[in-house]
Amino acid sequence: MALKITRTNNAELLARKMELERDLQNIAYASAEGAALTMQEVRDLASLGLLSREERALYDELRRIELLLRK
Amino acid sequence: MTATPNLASQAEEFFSSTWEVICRVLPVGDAEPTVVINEDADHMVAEFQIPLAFSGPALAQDGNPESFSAMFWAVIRYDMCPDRTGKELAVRSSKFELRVHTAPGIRFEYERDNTTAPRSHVHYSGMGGLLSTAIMRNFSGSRNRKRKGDVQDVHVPTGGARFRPSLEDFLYFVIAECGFRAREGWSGYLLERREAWFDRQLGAAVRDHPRVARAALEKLGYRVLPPTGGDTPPGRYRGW
Repeated sequence: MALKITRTNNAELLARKMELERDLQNIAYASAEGAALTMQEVRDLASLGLLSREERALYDELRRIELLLRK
Repeated sequence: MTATPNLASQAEEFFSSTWEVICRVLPVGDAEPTVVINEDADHMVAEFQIPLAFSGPALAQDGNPESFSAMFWAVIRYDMCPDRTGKELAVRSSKFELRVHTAPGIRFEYERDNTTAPRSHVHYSGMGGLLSTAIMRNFSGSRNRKRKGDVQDVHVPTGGARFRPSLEDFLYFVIAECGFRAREGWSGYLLERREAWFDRQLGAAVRDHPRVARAALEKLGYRVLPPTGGDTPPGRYRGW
């Protein structure tokens, strides 16, 4: 099975990173808390397995972007 | 900076080969790998999320199980960059995870640039009751996350950069130790692939410390001459 490869750049990655962070900071837990989550809280939720599958997919994408942007 | 074409093609080859290994030993359902290249830098990342099927007879190469567990996943991620010479591709980090729903059940991780924890390590989410009290006590008063007693914050060291577990080791773990369903011929294929991994790591280990390699060969009766100017100095990464 051939792999589909996406080619991108820093500007696109940074823009997508901001979108993902905003979405993750406002997941269902945020409405329960009444305020946006911090990224550390999002990471803790991921680490504890408390994200839904859809939220976890966003978090996985964010982690990949962070790696692609890492110096 | 633009991604070096040679490195990008090496990465494509590496990721394709990884996907081939996974498809040869596990039924992958409709899993679609994610491969992204950042063209502004020499960074390439691939992630493979494979649904796992509960135990059953080994499947033919083109066969699929009646269903997948819907709960357990093998998640494999590679983060690639240039090696120290800048010419060859290297793994900067990797993660082989057995995921339970969205929780990281067990993770075999490698972080080449890690200086505060072992570069190669395992995180495990189980057996908290046995170790939690000790790490809470031992790290209380520090800023270390382990003070909370969550055992998955512990890094279990697994052989450093050179002798770390391979993808083949992880796939063996998923199939043989955890019992998830595999494809026919998985064992022999993984053993063969692991031999190739050992050979690659052996070559790298020799480059890490040529004088020790030379001494080992001389013990076997080989005659090995150092290059003009003497032994190449050791280049092994320091620390864990």
